[in-house]
Amino acid sequence: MLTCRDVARRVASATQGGGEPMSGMMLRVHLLLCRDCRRYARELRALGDALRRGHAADADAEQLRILEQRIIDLGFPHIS
Amino acid sequence: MTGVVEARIVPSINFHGVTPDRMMREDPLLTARIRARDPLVLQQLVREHIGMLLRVCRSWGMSADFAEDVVQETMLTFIARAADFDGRSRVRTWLYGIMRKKAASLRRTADRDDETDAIDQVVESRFTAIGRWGRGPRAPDARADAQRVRAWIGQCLAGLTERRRHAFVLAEIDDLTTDEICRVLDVTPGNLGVLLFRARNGLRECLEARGISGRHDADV
Repeated sequence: MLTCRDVARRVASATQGGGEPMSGMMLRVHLLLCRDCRRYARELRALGDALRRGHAADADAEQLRILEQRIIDLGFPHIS
Repeated sequence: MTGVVEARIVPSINFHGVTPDRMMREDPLLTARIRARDPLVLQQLVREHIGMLLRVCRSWGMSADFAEDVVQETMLTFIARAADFDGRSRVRTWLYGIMRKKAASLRRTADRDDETDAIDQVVESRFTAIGRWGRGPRAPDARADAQRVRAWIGQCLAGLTERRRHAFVLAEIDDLTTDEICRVLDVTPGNLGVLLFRARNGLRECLEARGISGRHDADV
């Protein structure tokens, strides 16, 4: 039987990789039954979402092109 | 606290889809051309990867200028050492590994993650003796929250140690496997689990302290 503490540890230390099916099943059951753990898991998921949706905005295309050209000029001096 | 220190990575919750948990190898054909230092291939890889590398650097908290320097140095090192690429990891894993070391050597502010940490106590204080939530997480107001989280997350990230920030960003921003992240950061899966545990709880507490976790309201 997993406690909320166990669930919180696993949720907070998880990566995207695949894992152990049994504990995954027990986790899912716990999350189904426990509102607090669901909230916690959702909050942590929101952290990743916020990061991906761009707290650090993508560089604009022009800026990337300039950087790319600079790297190629420096990295392949005999070509350019 | 030993439980937390020993926290093993049990990646059983899929935050965004299942990725096989293993070290991915690079395509042998591409590996051969990289090792031969084929300029067209190397230039194509520069083109393909600098956008994501820049994004990771920015998420790690670097200024735009510093991030460009780090990405440039990373790619130049990659080009210079292409003949050493063995294809036992994907190109991106190799690049992130180079980049992490560049970031550290260019900045020189290594910090350590001690065996125990204040954040462990903070998290522990939320549970009762039998491991149920005592002071449970408060329910966020989903929509308003997403925007505010985005606005604040950069500042809260800046408050984490460098290793936690690196781990969190790598785990969330790209589709690296557990083993790939471990290789980039040069840590064991157990260490990675602890870094992620502390990073995520640190961020969550930071946001909650700023009132971003929102209202204490209805059921999920």
